[in-house]
Amino acid sequence: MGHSVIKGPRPISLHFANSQKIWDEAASSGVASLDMDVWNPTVRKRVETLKAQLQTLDDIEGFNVAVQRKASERKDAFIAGINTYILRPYERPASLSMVSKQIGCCSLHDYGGNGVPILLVPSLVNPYYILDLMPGRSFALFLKEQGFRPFLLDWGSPGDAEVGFGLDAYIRDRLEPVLRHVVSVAGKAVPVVGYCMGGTLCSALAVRNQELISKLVLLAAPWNFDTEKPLAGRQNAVEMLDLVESLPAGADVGVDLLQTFFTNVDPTLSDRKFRAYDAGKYVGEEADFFSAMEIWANNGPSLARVAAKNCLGDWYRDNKTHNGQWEVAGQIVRPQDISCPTLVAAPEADRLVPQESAFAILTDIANGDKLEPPSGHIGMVVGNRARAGLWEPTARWLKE
Amino acid sequence: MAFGALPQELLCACTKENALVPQRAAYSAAMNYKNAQKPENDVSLEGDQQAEAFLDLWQDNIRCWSEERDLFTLQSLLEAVRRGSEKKGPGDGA
Repeated sequence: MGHSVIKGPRPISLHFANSQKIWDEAASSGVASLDMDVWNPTVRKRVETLKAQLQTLDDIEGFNVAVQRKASERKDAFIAGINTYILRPYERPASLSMVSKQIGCCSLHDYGGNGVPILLVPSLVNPYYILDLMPGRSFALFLKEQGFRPFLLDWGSPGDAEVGFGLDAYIRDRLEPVLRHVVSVAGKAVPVVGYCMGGTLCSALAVRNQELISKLVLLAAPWNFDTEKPLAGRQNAVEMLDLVESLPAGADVGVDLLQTFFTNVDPTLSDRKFRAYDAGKYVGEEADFFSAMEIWANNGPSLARVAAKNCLGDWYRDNKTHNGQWEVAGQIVRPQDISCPTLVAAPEADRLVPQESAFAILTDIANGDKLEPPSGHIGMVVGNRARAGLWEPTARWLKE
Repeated sequence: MAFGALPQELLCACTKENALVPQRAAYSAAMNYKNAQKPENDVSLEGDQQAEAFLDLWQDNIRCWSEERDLFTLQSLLEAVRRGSEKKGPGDGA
């Protein structure tokens, strides 16, 4: 069976609608909007500069006509960018790992070698291979070069065995057996790295398995869900929870719904990205990287319904993690019970998980360090500055 | 518009086995067509530069507000999800 891949942002109707809405409203508003109270304080200085420039124009109506024409061109450029991207061939190079263990829908990828076994745990809601995206952009392969033997967990899409799985079942019945397997290979406690919500799950793993984990690294892992700067889509979380509860019995939460949640973090991103693509900003390896990222983001596994409800309700709505109420298999997850050295990395420009959220767990960890990579949430692990900003300092910390 | 968007159904049918050869040909043809559409002398009219600045400003304004609040209503979100799920293809869940 071939592995089917959907190219293009999902749900595609939402991305089209966002682009159309942005430019249609701009075209119909024109110069009059500059005197309206709609401008964010961050851009108000630019508004005043533009107003001053417009006063030098002979024909202000010509400006409005130009705005309409340029807005129409931008809509076309967005669609053209998507077309060009879709038609550009790209296939992710085969991973240099082998599946060494399968538990239900989960696969454990072993990168081999004689290095120190280390468990890598990605998020449940995107494909696992963000930690091994492509040559030159693979945290897993970098760690192997540094003397480790990475074991990368692929959570997979929930199957029959995972019907009814909440986060606690994923931790108890999937993550913990995987950890025990890696420990059995190593013959001793192993370091564990968790990324995004995979990191939050690893916090519970560390609390419940203190003797099996030598060091813990949490990469952009949310902990406090009630920060001043809101987490991705937090204000929609309650409505999303209602929506998940209204899904047909047995239905999991698919990638379209998850992507809708994340698209609202920045509804202009898709338009800006694909217009840049249309303008030829991405060539060669950068274009391959663009394709790899888009395919990664838009072809993730679905999320088991109960697990989704745990995330939206227990985490986003009730902030049980930070409030000391998050329970996994009958045990409260208290950061105070994480006994191993812990590194929390939270990038400066993270719009999905604010630094304040990720660093909150450090308050209660006795032996904790922090790292602030100069990137965003995903750029931190695969971007051009990933090596210097995250990989190298993390490897050094792990070897200390 | 240079050329129309491919329907999602066609994209869903795109697999490792069947995608790359015809895709390369289609990509070359599309890029040739696109390049042919570019005007040789792109004359800039008065107000164009300011119009571009205005549109950049407009989009940045939305981006800045979105850092502080979610812009789209639940209704629009639900409609988008419904439209997206109606177009669901065989690749979903892969």
